[in-house]
Amino acid sequence: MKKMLKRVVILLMMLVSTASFAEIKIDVTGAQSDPLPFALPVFTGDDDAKITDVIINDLERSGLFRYINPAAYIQKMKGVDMRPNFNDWQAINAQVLIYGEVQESMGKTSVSFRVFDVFAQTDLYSKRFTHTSSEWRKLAHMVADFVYERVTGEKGYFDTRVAFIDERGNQMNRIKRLAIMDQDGANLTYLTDGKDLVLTPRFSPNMKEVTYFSYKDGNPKVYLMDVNTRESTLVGNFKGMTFAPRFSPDGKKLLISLARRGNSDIYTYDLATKKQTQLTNHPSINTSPSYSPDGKQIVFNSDRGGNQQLYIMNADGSGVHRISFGEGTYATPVWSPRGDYIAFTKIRHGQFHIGVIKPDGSGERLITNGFLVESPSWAPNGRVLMFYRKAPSRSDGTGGDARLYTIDITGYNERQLVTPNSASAPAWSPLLH
Amino acid sequence: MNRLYDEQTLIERESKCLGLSVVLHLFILAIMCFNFSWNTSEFEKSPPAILMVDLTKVKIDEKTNLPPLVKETKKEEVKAPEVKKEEKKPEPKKENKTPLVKKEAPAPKPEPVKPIEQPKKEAVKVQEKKPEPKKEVKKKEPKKEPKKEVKKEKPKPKPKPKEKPKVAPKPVPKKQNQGLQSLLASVEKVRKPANSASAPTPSASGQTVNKGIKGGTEGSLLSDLTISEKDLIASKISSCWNVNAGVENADQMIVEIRAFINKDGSVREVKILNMKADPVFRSMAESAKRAIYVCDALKEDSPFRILANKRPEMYSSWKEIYLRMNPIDKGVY
Repeated sequence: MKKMLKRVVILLMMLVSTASFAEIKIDVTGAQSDPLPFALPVFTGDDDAKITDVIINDLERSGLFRYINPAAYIQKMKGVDMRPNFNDWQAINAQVLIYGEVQESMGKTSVSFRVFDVFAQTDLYSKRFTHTSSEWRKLAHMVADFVYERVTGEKGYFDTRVAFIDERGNQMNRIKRLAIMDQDGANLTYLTDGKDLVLTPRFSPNMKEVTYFSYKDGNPKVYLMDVNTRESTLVGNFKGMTFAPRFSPDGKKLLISLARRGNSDIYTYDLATKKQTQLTNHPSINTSPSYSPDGKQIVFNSDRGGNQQLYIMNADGSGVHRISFGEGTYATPVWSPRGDYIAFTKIRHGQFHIGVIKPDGSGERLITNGFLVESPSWAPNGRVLMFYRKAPSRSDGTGGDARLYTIDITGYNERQLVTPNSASAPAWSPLLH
Repeated sequence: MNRLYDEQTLIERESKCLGLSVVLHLFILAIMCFNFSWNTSEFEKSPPAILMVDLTKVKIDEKTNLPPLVKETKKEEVKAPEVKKEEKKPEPKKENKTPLVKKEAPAPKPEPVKPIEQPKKEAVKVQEKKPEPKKEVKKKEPKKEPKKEVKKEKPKPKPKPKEKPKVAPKPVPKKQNQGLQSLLASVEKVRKPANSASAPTPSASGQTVNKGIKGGTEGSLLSDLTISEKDLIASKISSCWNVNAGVENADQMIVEIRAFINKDGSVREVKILNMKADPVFRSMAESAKRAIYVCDALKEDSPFRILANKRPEMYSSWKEIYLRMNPIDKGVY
């Protein structure tokens, strides 16, 4: 009898529990990919709104955020400690609210800011930065980077610089200078005077140096320039150098391509020991090498299969295998800092394309095209590519200016970067902070 | 002699077996010759049969994946067994089993008669019908019904008065279980709101029909919304969910969320069940959580308000909603 009662009680409890804890289970697949609407009232103390404007511009240019016109704001935010009235911000569909204050003293500027998830009504992030007042743009970029990272989960890329070749003058007397600027086009400075032809700049991983290819003294050589002091040093006198070198991820080696006896091969050059090591030895053209972010593999292009295609090999030159099999020819592969994609230029049906492909050869996508689109360079977070685009001004395909553009790897949000002159061969720096 | 006899019988058996195996082999050969065509070209020539199904005329009920349909009439439940009792008395063991079924059933006095019911097959039916009598108990007072039934039964047992005593001992275990019955009744009360959809509904003709489906093997009528209702909620949440495009390995990210909903359909709380340290996943999970609140802010268009308006009786089912959210719709992305 007792046993029976026990059983019944257990049964009873089970029944009650199933009844009271019953819940609906639903699978949700798919989401929208619209820019996230955000509100950013002018920071308290930022009287001319210069810092606020840079932050807004950075976030909007990323294509992942949409700024809500401040005329729609209901609540006026005063000071970083003020508690937002979430209903007011929900009413204008602001999903993220950023506000803060700026303080200046003794030649230094401090920015305190807070980030709120308006609908979940949670404080996502708060931070305070201080920098010399002259570098207020850097402060603004840093704020934008942290907001971007907190909301998207990916590293920002706003506090970065871009090295490129500035071109002016007619086709017969073209002046090319090595230039550097912030990723948004501000703070443009020229690193060379334009007397010598310069090509293909590349940032070193420590961001302090830029390598470039120059015809100084009439011979093509690789130079290393300190960005701050602007002092150039010859890297090595390589015979038959074809293209500019790229740094290894640790910054200790350079990957170079040398043309000898009619074909070019890939070498590494140790910056400390000045020792060259040949990686490929094949009677074909092997050029444009680029390291994977872990430094274990190298992507390059080669015509060993009949036409220019993309190949990957191990860092010691072993295990060469082809990854591209598409129509047309492939060139200038660059491995993403994130490691998930390799960007390349493709020439097909008389058109240039910028595309991305996964290291295993799958998922090839062409994200933009044009008469001439070239030199893809990755943002440090691996989300955005910069390249240059040139449209001819004459029907014979000559003339026209080259301009720098950024594009998201999804193929959306292509935007021009404003430069005073024609600009080509961009190289994106790593994150500066 | 015996050995010789054994050998002879063995030989005879062997020869019989041999004959049988020869016959069987011949039979198999014959089947192969007649039924298996070696001319494969015939297979190639014959086009595959194509079944044309006009799906435009197919009507899909708003609720699918249902349990088996059970139809019963009240009369069958009460009267039919009584008749059968008299016919099939001889199986006493089964009678012992059926009372167990009836223990749960509410009607106390008529039960002694029911045990004499039909054989195994019907016993199964009786088990399926359990819920029905329970309802009757709640609606009508149990004591009155049994009295009426007893009156009816009295005339029937007359021809076989001796059997009555045999049936009489059976109610004894029921008395023991009377406490259990009251417990079960209280369980029923607890379950009633959640099960209201699943409980058999009495029709005008007196028939009680659960909302199952013919041929149904699984599924439950308990605490579940229809597929179309779930789809509605999923699509609404999907439209509220905004993720940044191009996230690495987004297709492998599944955010598990539990949303706690108030009776009026407003969202009380949202919990992320599988938060990870990876900042990209965290961002994705937070966007999923935000989506629930964004949907909530739609007020009357909120999927949860729609539930509150359309299915208020099922609040116990949707007061907690478990969501598995994947940003990649593989058919579209």
